Amino acid sequence: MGLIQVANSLIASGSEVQSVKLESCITTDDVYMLVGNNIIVGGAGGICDIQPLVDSTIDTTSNIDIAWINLNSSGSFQKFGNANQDIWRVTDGMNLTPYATNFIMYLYNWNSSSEYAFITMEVTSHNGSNLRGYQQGGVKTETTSFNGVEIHTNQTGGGGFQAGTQFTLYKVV
Amino acid sequence: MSNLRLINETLVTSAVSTVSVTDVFSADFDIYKVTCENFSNSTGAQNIDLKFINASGSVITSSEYDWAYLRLNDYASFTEARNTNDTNWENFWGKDDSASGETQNAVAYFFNPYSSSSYTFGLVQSSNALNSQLQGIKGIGVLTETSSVTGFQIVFNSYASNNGKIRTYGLRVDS
Repeated sequence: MGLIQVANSLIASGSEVQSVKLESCITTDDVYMLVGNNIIVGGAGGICDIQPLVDSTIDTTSNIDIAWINLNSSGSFQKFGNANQDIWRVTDGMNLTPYATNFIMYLYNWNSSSEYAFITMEVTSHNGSNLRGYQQGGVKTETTSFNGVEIHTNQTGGGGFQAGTQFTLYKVV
Repeated sequence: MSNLRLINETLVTSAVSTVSVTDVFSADFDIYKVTCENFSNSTGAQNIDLKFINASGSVITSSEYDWAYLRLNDYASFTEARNTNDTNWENFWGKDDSASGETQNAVAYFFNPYSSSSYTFGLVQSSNALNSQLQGIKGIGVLTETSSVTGFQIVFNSYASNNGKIRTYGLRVDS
């Protein structure tokens, strides 16, 4: 398997943000791999969510179906499924360094105008209390051709995603 | 050129109780992919664990390994396992066995092992045949210390393993 980088965003000190857009980088029917590395925020708590883009516009239609199991080091694993939501959730347990979140997310058919957009996602993170991470599958039940991805947090401390947080998108070849 | 760069290939060709893959994590990459293929032994089914190796070349044995996994079984309900403050990531690589054709196979990702300011995180998926059964691991782990990690050790829990291949890749990010 080869990986060709098509987009990257590394948060720099002084440029903390709550939203990152990787725009106009999904341009073929190939599989893409989105990597979130060392995702940290400026305050304990908060979520990290993902939505698809058409150019710079977020598709907020509530037609995302998901199912996940939450692996964790503190107790029984939670299983969850839901239909018609508007985001893919990476985690709801953001925290300050060194309690980071990391994930690998594969994107299938995102650029297709005839197929639904699917994802698989694996997360490994620490929320300050315990190790946890979703093993997740999902689908957006529309045939829009997406060409980018947006990642955001609702954590406002320090401006959101902190320096060192990185999102990189690769085409799988 | 692919952003996935092969750093090291280690072959197991004789009986060993551990395999140390050293000096593979560096400042060149933040994320690493490791594949393990075809571990097998001559005695029976066993767990295969993971420990990290620090910049001094020493195996990290402190009680700072947290882990959790879901084991998918073809013969029974799926199994949950977890621990905190352990001395390794238990069963991280899955299991191997001695019967013909019954081997262990896995792919893992490690995040920021070389960093001296971040914890080292891991993801793994494995598929293993043993006792005429199939088991698969979906697991995660964290080493809750910020020491710089430069390698890892594969620990065969009960018996020496005598076959296998480990490949370590770096995932390059172009700025």
